[in-house]
Amino acid sequence: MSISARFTSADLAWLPAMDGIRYEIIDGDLFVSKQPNWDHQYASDRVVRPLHDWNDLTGLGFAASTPGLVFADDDDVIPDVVWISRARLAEVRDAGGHLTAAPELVVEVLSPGRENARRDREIKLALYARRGVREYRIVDWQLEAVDVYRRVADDLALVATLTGADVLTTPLLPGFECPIAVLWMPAP
Amino acid sequence: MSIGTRFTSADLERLPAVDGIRYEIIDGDLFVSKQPHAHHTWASDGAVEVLRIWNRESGLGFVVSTPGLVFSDDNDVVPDAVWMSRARYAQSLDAAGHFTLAPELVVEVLSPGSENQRRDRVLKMALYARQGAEEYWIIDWQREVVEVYRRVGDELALAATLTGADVLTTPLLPDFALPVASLWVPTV
Repeated sequence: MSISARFTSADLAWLPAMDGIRYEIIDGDLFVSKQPNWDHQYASDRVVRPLHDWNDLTGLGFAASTPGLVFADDDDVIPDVVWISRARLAEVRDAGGHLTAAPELVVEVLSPGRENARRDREIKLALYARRGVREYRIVDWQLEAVDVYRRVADDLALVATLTGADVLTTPLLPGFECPIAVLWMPAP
Repeated sequence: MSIGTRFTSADLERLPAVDGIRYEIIDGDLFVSKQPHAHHTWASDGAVEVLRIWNRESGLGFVVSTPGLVFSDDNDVVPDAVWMSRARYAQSLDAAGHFTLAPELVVEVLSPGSENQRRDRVLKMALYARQGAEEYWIIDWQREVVEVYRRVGDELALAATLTGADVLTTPLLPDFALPVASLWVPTV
């Protein structure tokens, strides 16, 4: 453990692996989050499925749930879902199976609580903008809304907030369509 | 561990006790901070030393370094130092050696990094204000500044910003005097 007050990837070695606990480091700050709940996992699984389907059809890339994204020792995060093109994956995957640079698309599903929302809406937005993500989606199952951010120069800018019967499409994935209503857990 | 995404004091039992690692829960969010810089400890010890001398002479209260303040299951923090009157101390101390009520005075020494600063300046400020602290000192050894916040109604409001040869005094502790320059490590 280093003497400084900042966290690095090396610290993740001594933090205990616990079911449902996720450790992330952004700018040297450690963020610990807890087992997401049913609605979170339902939305996250629903996000990844049409991405897999689109990949199977086009052969253009891969989707993964909760991959390790290690941009640097002090920027080491685990988004809910990513999509990465075939060419880029070959370039950025390391021997440990982590991604060492930004995938084209990152999706985070919000968890309840002020700090959780702030982590995804402010801190990770800035991180993904800085690290070159092309598109960032924030899925809010509580409000049943999806915010879509796309790259504009050095920034990720909010381009759409989808609700109700809206259908998500993106220039990144030609022909991809996802009605966002499928992301929300129906009443049992 | 609870099934929710919020942290409670019970979760702290499961986290490893590691030298220099401090776990705190504010409003159900978990914050992990690291071994402070030597200058941090110097400043904290400096404030504690003068508070101890004052207590010994006045007999009016107690000073405690890094006490556990457990206001509730989801508000469980460890400030750098606190001062409590005798009466408050007796009322507040529980069987486990934690304090369940706000001390009259809380002292935090800032650590570098935006999240560390936000924790002390925003989240803990709101927590200590809500829980009933009378005074909150934020010591910034990097800038060599001490900010003194005092209770005004429901809030802790900035009452003084001390630098250089300024001497910290407070209506809470009659005749107490802390030259803030004594908190900074002298040039070796």
